[in-house]
Amino acid sequence: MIPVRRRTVIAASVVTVLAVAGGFEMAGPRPGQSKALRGILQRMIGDFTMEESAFDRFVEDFCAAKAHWSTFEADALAILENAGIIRSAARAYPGLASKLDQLERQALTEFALATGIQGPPGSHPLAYLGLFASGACNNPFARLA
Amino acid sequence: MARLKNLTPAENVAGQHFDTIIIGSGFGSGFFLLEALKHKRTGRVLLLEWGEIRSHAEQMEAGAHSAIKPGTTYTNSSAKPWNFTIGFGGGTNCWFGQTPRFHPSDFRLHSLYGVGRDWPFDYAELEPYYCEAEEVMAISGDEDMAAVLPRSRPFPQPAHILSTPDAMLKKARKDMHFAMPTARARLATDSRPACCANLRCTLCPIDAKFTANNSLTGVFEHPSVTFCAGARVDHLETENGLVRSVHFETGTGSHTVSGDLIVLGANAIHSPAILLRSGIGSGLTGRGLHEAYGIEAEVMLDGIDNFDGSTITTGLDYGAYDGPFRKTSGSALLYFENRWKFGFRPETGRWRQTLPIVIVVEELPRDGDRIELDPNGQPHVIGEAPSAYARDGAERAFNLLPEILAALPVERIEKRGVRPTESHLQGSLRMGTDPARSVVDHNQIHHVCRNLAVVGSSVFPSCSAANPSLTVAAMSLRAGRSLLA
Repeated sequence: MIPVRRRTVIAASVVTVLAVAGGFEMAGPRPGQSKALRGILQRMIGDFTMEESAFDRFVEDFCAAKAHWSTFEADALAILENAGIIRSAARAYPGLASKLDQLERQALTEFALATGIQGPPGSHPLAYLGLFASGACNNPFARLA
Repeated sequence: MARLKNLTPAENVAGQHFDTIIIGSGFGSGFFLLEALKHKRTGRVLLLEWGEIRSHAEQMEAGAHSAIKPGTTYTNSSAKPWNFTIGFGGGTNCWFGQTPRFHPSDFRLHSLYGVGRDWPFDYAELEPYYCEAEEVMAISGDEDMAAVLPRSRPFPQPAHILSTPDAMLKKARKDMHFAMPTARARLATDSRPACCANLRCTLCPIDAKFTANNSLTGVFEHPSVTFCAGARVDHLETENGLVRSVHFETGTGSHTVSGDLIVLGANAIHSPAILLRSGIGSGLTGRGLHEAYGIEAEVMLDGIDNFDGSTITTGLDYGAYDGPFRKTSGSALLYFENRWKFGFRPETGRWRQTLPIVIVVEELPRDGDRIELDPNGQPHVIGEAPSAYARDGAERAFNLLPEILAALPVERIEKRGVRPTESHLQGSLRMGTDPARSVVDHNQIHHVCRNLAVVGSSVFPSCSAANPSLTVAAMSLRAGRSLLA
């Protein structure tokens, strides 16, 4: 159980983030998004090696494809992730836990498909091959014959 | 803009007389035309399509089937959105290519279970036309399905490759669990490549599903047919109980053409709107709009990977479809998804151990769910939330999942919410033998205007849990033959 005072702080930070993030639009990944997504992915698949510019392109494409993650909702999650309190916040707010679960699964799925990994990448450098949706017959799992 | 060889400016046909005038170019109209062109009585045909002709390449470039957004063509105070395509090919553009037939019991719902309505013909009557429609669309399917849906001909194409969970279920439930019948080509045809499970069926990047664009242009370009695009039909004019002329609008103004046989296939919102603007028919016109009700579930598997089938939906299960329970709750079809609809699982080594299932349930059409005209003469949709009958059917099917999935190693099953829409608008001009309870007769001829045929899912008297397009196609072949042969 998270103390009431801590819940209040978390709630206040979410509200602040939403208010601030809702006020501007910009091209490319928003500040903190790349760092947050990298943190989320590392938590799920372990450390990975990828050029920063390639990873930024992935983040940009991911946010564009998942329109709901390019709004202030995503910014709020990013701030909480980067502040290291997203797990606590998710435990305090079931609605946030559900959003976090969706984000984690979508990020993992798109990243795995966009890099061709089918498990933890280890130390092998990863290349960004484009989002799954940008290709045609690129389903790595389908048996066609 | 793409063109058909016989595309003609509206001004060139204004004032002319045609033997047959067809309104709309989706499944209902396209398959009616396909049949009609085999019969001499059809004569000269004019086809009026509201939208533009947009090729597959143009659709891919624009990222949309049509420039007309459906939500801008009607107002809505019902509980859900209603999706459709206005443009050449209509719903053949946006459908996913799922083609289960309706179940024999769907046609006798009232006789068997005392709810809903019976259809004016039965499954056996429609069966030969199902076969013909399947041939035209090169449907891939599972011959074992005849255990539930009897068939007189084999499927034109072999079944798609099942995912691992589907293969296990089929082995354990061979009379209930089948490979999904589909118009996503299993094998390449003359006009379509084989489906490669790219999972983007709304606008298939490789054009593998049947569409009017890739498979029916020869029909629409027939020498007997004149095709006008960008022609929005406003109303029909009647005289002595027959439709005499069709009034339509284009970018250049209002035009009128006359015809002997009028075929209305402008979808279940716009077809009744045209009739309402024309003052044709009884108070039943526009009433009974419905579609199936859908929920989603996710099955967490234990040690079995999914996604290795050859198309987006590989399995279809009839374990919750038919029985006395339909007296009180809807029948349900279970669609087994070969895709990561909810994403991979986060646990290391278990990314693919997830099986999304869509549960689609029949709804009971209600007169209160209807199309009216707003003060501008445009359709306004009124409708209530899904009925208890449909919701109970979904709950029943969900609760049956542990039993249905007994052959799978299941860790847990989670509900994933209600689907906002199935994008299948049906039932606003229902078919029946009694003019006091229906709008069109058993041959889809309007009870009052006997030279007016209505095609498409607007004539469905009841709602199957199965996807409507194959049934629409089969019914149009039947209607065309009964009228013109």
